[in-house]
Amino acid sequence: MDTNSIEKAYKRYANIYDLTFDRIFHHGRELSAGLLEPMPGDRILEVGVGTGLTLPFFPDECQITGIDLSEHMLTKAHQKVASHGMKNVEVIQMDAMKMDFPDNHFDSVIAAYVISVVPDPVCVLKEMLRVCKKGGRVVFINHFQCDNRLISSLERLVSPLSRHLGFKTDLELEPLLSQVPELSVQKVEGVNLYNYWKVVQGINNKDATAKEGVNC
Amino acid sequence: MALDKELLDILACPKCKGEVKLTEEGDGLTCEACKLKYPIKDGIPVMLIDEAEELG
Repeated sequence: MDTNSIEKAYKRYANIYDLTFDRIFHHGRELSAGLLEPMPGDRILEVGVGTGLTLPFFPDECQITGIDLSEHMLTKAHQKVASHGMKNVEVIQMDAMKMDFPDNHFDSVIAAYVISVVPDPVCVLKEMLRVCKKGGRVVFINHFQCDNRLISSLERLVSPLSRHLGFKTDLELEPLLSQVPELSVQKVEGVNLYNYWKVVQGINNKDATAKEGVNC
Repeated sequence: MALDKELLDILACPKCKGEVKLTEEGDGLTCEACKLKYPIKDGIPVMLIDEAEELG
């Protein structure tokens, strides 16, 4: 698995992404952004910002940083930021498994529809916890394993990587959470079509004094 | 969209985690230790080692 493959897959995707998927996943994005419970002045990181569909749900008074691996998705996000005059948003091309941010920098971190399309979901969650302050909110929304074939195929459609590159479509929530005990889960809520997607809201309960080195 | 100064301050070289500096032309972020330049394409900093250019 290399980053070039990921970029290529999303290059094909960038132009149609909003048209195809915004309606289905809109509510989940709105709900997730709200669960960050942002306060004015908060520094918020969105991991996998993609074309920027979640950006309108963040308050203007917060400083938003969005990262993504796909240059083409980010270009779309950048166009949205410019055309909407979102002066509080920056986007950067970066690998979510090896973020270049210091420890404890962000007040809250969000990842919408990302966890199942990365090679190592636990690594991404640990990186999210590393760059987030202790006590900060970490929210992610994702589809976790279910028996409904319609939904499973829809999820595969959303993530070209999972189809082409064999990424996880069978991610289970409980085993995942058990590997990040420092995330204190506050709420798990079903959302979108038939509630087959889950929003997880947690508080970062890491030991802020410990050296958090994440090695994946 | 100019890069936010605070963001520049917190960005680190993905390779050595050291400091990166904005080029005079504003077209990239350089790491002196690794002799690498991370390009800024259309206002988006590309903080990927694979995409970095070697400094002469």
